[in-house]
Amino acid sequence: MEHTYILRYWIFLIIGAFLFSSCLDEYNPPEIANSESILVVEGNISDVVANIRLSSTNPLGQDQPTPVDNAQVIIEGENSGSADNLIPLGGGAYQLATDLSFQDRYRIRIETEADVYVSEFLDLLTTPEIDSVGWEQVDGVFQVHVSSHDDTKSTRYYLWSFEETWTYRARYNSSYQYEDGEFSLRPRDEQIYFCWDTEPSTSVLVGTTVNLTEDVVFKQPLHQIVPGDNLKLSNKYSILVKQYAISQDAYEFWDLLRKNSESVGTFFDPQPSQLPTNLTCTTDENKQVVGYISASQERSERIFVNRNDLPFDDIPFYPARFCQLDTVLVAEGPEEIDLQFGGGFNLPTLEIVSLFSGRVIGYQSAPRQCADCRIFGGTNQRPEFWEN
Amino acid sequence: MHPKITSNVLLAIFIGILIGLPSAKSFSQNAESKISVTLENAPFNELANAIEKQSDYTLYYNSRQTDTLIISVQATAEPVAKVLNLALRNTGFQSAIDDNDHIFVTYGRSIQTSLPFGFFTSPETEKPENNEIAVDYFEGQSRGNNAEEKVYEIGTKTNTIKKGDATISGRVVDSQTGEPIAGAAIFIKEPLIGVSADPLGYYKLTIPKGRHTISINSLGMRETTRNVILYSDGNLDIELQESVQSLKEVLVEADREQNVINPQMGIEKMDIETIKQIPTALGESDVLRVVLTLPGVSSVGEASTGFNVRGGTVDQNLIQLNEATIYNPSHLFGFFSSFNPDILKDVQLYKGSIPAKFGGRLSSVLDITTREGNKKKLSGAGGIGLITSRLSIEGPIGSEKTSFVLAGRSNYSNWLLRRLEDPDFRSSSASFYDVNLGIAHQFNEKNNLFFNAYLSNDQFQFRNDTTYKYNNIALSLKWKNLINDRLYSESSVAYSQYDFSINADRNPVNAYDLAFNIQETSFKSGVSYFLNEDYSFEAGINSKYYQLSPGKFVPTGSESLIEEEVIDQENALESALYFSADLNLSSKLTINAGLRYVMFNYFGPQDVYTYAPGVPRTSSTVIDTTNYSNGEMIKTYHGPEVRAAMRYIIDKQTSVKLSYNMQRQFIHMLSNTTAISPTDIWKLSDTHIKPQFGQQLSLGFYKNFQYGIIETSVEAYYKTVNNALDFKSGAVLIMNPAIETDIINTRAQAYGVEVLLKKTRGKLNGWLSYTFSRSLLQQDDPIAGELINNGAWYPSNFDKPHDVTMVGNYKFSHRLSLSLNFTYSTGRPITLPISSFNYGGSERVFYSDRNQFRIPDYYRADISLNLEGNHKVRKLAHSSWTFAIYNLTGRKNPYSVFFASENGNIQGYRLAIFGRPIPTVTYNFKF
Repeated sequence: MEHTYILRYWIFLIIGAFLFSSCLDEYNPPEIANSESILVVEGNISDVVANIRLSSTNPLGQDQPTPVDNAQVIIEGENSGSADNLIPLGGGAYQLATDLSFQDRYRIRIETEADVYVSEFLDLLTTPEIDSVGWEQVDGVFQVHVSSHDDTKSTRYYLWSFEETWTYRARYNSSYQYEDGEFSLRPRDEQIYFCWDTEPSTSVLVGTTVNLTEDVVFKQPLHQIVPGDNLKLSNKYSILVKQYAISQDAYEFWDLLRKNSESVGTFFDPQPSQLPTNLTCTTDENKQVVGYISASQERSERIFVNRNDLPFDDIPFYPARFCQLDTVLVAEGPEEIDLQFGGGFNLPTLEIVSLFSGRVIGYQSAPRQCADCRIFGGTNQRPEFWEN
Repeated sequence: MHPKITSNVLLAIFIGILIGLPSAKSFSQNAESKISVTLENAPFNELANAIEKQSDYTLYYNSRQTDTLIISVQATAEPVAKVLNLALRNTGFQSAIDDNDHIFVTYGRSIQTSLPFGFFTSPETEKPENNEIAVDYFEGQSRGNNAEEKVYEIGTKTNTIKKGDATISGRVVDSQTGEPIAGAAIFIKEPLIGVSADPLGYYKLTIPKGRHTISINSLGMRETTRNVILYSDGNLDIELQESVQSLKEVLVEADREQNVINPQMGIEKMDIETIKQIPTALGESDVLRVVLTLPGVSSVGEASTGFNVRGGTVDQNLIQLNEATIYNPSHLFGFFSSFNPDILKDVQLYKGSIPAKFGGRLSSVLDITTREGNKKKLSGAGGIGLITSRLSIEGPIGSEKTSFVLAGRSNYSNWLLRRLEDPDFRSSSASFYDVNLGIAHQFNEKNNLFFNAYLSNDQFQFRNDTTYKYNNIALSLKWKNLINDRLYSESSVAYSQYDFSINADRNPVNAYDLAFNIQETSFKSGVSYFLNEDYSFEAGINSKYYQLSPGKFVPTGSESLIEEEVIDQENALESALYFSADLNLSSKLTINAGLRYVMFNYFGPQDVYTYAPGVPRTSSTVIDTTNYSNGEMIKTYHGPEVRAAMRYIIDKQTSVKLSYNMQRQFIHMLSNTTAISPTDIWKLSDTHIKPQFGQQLSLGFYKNFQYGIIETSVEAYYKTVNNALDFKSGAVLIMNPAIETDIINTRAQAYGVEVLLKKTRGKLNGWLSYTFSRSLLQQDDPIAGELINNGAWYPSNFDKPHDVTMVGNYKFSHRLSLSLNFTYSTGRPITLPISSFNYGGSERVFYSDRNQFRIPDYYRADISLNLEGNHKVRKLAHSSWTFAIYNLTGRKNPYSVFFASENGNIQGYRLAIFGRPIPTVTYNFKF
């Protein structure tokens, strides 16, 4: 990639240097502006739950996904003839608790306003248990890996996803709150010192053991965190790894999705290619659809990692922000106090108590970004799975 | 020169005797015929008609000489001889009458119609030379156009010319340098019979006995004619004048009539003059740019290496420089071609029927030959352009038997870069040079040896960091041997090397050197046997030994932490046996049938992976590794290749041709980018990568008008390729020890119609061509793992259905000429991201089906003005200036369209390389 980049740069350079004549103009192919939106289907059917997410492709330049919420999503059993509607959860998500048989084959039927899409009938695959999720330090980087095995040697292709959750704290603990001119102790369940943040995996994580004599996944790397880059390891970190057995076709879909993501269509870039799919539009065979549904048991494993257990010495403790503390005395008058805290830009962190009288004579003030952890994306509500 | 010096001396004496004779004997007999005629300021042919009508005499004269001859004569029952004498008095014309009632009217000198009495009285003691008499009236001033006005009697003169054919043989050479002119066309128009000179300039033309005008033409030489009276087999040597100095020559005079006569089709031959007339962006004549103006040849863009012939990929062209393969024919990303225009002799592109002697590439053969040095005097040539300069020097070594030519070329863009403000530019460099050396030695008239060496180097560096280099080396030694006048052999050994390296040393920890290298050693030997005018045969063997180092990745410097990695060298031998026959089955039907049998052996040392059957080959499906030792055979491919061409002459200006071709290709360029980049590697066929197999069927219709001044042709072709290579998405091609995991097999088909209208001579000359062509691919590899466009046919990167090219030249005078080029083509296909979506937790781009969109159409016009210095023969140097404007209209033709993410939005851009008119000036000189 680096070479092609430099070569590309070189073309510009030569042109610029020798000819002073090259031109770069904006280009909007009319076809792109008018491209019709295509249904995007992502999801898995497991023995106990079906999760499907529907969205549509966006014109280039529009980043937010467009969910498709007004569709009927149905799981159909091939032998049983069952047909169960998934429940729309909003945001394009559809879900249904199921009790599916490994002996049957299932497919997804999607009825949108205009069209009907069906997937192939899929064998419900059993997924081997995750043996372990672990971590290690690789070249100064924190790396999470997964291990698993299948004694029957029938799995071979694996798909993983994960959800990482971590706690972090603000630099200063705002133990008090200011509301309508009154200071009060911040309730424990409204604390904003500790936050939890969660991110799903964003890369395609697939692996195969086809080249091995045993169906063994050993320490397959899933995720890397550069310790100094963010707050994920600053306090306590947890990762939930989900493992699915997938078919060879599904493996190829995911692998291609991964490889395709790099190209932007320049001269020295490799040619991108179309993604395969196991869905078809039955009402209009020319309609394209994006996505590959799989039917697979879900196995998951969660681990926790404490900062103290990590061998890194460059992990930040709290968000790196400029924090200038200030002190506001009660004696300065309510207007001055309201000016300080009323707008919400500063938070009271500590009471200042007179040594002589024992009375509160003022409050220490910190800018919000130094005392409210929620500013950095997390929530102050402790997740249920969180262990102390 | 042929015949030998001794016979020349004899001949000279003999001619001297003839000339010394009084001409009184001219009309001793048959002088009784009397005619009556009255003409007043009438053209000569009226007199000729009158004589032929009133007597038994037949008149022979050159109408070119006599068409301006106006005569006045009045005679009543006068002898013909007297009438002629009266009519031709004071005109400079002479008449002569022989024993057979033939009258020859010539200018300046009368024909000797008989030999001295007793000359042939003892035939048993005749010297062999006497059978090959060329009666020559040169009187020592043997050069020049006077030869055209003479009548040559060829063979043993007889009293009556018997019916039947006789053969004229001889040699065509350059009158200035004595260099043989290979491929010169020697033909008569009535009936239309023609041959071309062999690589040593020898020819053999069998035509009916009697009076003929033989036309001779060749690329870059002035066309000439010889008037002959053919009695029996004999010799006629022909000297041609180079057309460069006269500037009278035509744009492409090559293959005049040849396009109709030659059984093979889809052959384009260009001389350096044509090449020089095409305006180029950077002011230097460029072979590849000219090749791109030919119908059926295209490229993906302006600054791209290589070219595509009839829907073939770039690597399907065999580019040969003096028998040695050139792997990278471009300098500086394709802005220049690798071939120094000053020393090129001719360039032939075979895109339709490919002769059996060539093989190994599917689409075309571009055969480039450099000149022999001047054998008579030391001379040189050169050119100074805005970016490059070149110089060549040539001359005899020792005697006229040996000559050399040495040429070099270099650019000075570094000098320009250093003067730029931008520090990125100043710390960057880009340079190239190439050197050619040719030595030709003539042992004797039958044995010639040629040595050629070529070296090119390109180097560019960006911001003092990564340095890219590539080199071509081509060495060849060729021996041409005329065993006898029917058997001719040509053998050569050649060595080619292409290597590139990428060196990065800015960051000492990551400093590395990446190198690729291919070496090809070849041996070729072939014989041509001319049984007679109707049957000739060719046979030979070719063998190529490849050594290929696919990649070497090594740390440089002591601090580098790069892990050394070397990919196994590949070794293979490609051998071929061929036989072909040219059969004139009738005066109208000619068949050229050839068979080539090729064998490819791929051998160790090598580790070869075995993949699980029926599943996509990936690193994870390797089930076994086999270790082959040095020289151990790993895989052999072999098979026949049929080459057949047929021509049927409808009338003398019209013919139809049909040809069929089969090709196998064992070496492939791995490039999954749209443009060929200098870091694309080559790969030999092996256990997993099958040879490409191509077939082409073409049909052509040719018609000439005005004796070949206007040529028209329509050629249609259909070709298929099996096992063409394509690549998986995100394929890693460099430093990949298991490259087969990223390669998929595809099928290709191409078809098209090429219509050409060409005016070969006159003040206005040039050509206009329209090409309709499609080049389509289909992926049908069952174990590819992914099907491009769902297995449907899709256009290739260089599929440009409509192409119109016009190349026009107008000569205002001998010194001033103007060229205008015009090119239009459909924009090339591209794959565009058409929308985005969210999947697997991340933003993804949705692409159109592959190559379903096209960049805007391409349109360009160029103009160039060529100003020659004066044409005094004797002066220090001949010089010329070329002023050119490339892209006259300044159209911003998109070179590429790409998309970049900016502020969260994906914006499309189009880049035009030559987005405005580019003026250039070049000064060329010759001394």
